[in-house]
Amino acid sequence: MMTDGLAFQHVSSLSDRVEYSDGWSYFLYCIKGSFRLRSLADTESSNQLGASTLAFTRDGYLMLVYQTRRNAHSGGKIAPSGSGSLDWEDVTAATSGDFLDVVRRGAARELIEESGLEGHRDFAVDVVASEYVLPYAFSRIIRRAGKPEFFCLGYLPLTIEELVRYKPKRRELIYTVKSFASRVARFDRNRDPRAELERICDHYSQTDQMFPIANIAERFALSYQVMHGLALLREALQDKESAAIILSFIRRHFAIENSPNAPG
Amino acid sequence: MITSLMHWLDAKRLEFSALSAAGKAIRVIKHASWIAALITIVGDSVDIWEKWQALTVAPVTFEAVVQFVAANGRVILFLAISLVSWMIDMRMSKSILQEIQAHDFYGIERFSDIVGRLNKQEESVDGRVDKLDHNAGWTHPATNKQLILRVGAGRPVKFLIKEGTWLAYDPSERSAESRGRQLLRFVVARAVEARQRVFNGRKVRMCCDLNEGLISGVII
Repeated sequence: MMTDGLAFQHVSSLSDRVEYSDGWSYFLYCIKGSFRLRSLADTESSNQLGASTLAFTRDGYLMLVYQTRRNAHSGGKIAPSGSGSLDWEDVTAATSGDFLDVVRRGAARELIEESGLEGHRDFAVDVVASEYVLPYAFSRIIRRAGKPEFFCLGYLPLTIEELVRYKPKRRELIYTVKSFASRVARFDRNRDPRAELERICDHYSQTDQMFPIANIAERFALSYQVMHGLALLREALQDKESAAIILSFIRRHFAIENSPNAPG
Repeated sequence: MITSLMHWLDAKRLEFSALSAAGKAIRVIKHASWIAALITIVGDSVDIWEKWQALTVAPVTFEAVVQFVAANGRVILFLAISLVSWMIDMRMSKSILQEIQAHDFYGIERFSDIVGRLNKQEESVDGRVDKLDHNAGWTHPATNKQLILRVGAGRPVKFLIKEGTWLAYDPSERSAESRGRQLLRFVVARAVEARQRVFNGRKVRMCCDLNEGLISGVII
């Protein structure tokens, strides 16, 4: 809470001008005018581990959510299908001892909570984590004191119509109100999957493409997690080996045959 | 239920630790009156409801109000103390915020300058900082590739859990000049003023760089 929220803020006493925080030296260091991020082992930040998931529905929609102004960091912005900080329970529940399982589990839990699928028997966290979540990138958020963040690709075996029937629990509604899915950028399984993913990344990277009416587009901003998540997904698709894993995930879930004649 | 109660107690403990002596005293009285009122409500809920209906249906006389107050003293005391406690919280927050100031003097130009210099350094070690609107994110393409290849191959990254709980502020530090204590007071005051919830989310702290873990297969 404290170390993330006070990044780039100078905190001092007004009466005697004692400096309590300069806003940067606990996660950055500066030598001869050049800045470097401190190692995660070396910061005084809380380094809260976060995960953001861009999830597709069975009928090819990329679902994004609008977060309310009560949300401390992405208030009033369009956020990924699921995003948030991992809970300690995500660590204790991941019995495999694999760090990547912890990440997948945290990402799955957030995705389930924000999609309103909590408590649904077909969407247990373990199942979603192992079957439907693929971590593909890692970043550190500069405005939040170098907080570590994983980006994942997700899949929900429901159509968008089925999904909107599920309402997030009341405590989740404090932070999340609406789901967005653009009809124009729907994933078409009959086309080249890589080109389709790239097209969708490009489409969602600009709010004026998501909302054709200019004054509506101006009202919405994309959260950092959406912007960076889409950019890093696009980048991963440029690398042959990384793209093969992402496309295999997509093909498996969209039941696209992986034959030599198949697109992509 | 028990987990929720434990989380609530944890949140209250955190909030409590940032209060002044007066704030702590009123908070104790508030919770004691809250428990007393709860016992009264559970015990006499029908009775209170009937009395309230009688009070609202019949012409309100001074005597009837006095009788109602006398009969439901604990509930009314709880409401009054809650109101006073809330006013004290708000006043205390205001006084802390008048005493400690945070200002974002790293405006967008200065922030962009820092990000630019950070990016220059990171590029020398094959990383980079992507500038995204008013934010920026560090990333390292080779680490991302390692990550996805490990996920694809199902090769685990083992992790070790450090002992104890990491806290930004050491609660045993009693000194009024303690930097951590002042920052905690400030952050709680700002949250109270903005009517945000103060809670200890039992989050996960990552205390090792990912690339080390991906190479060695162990995160510490």
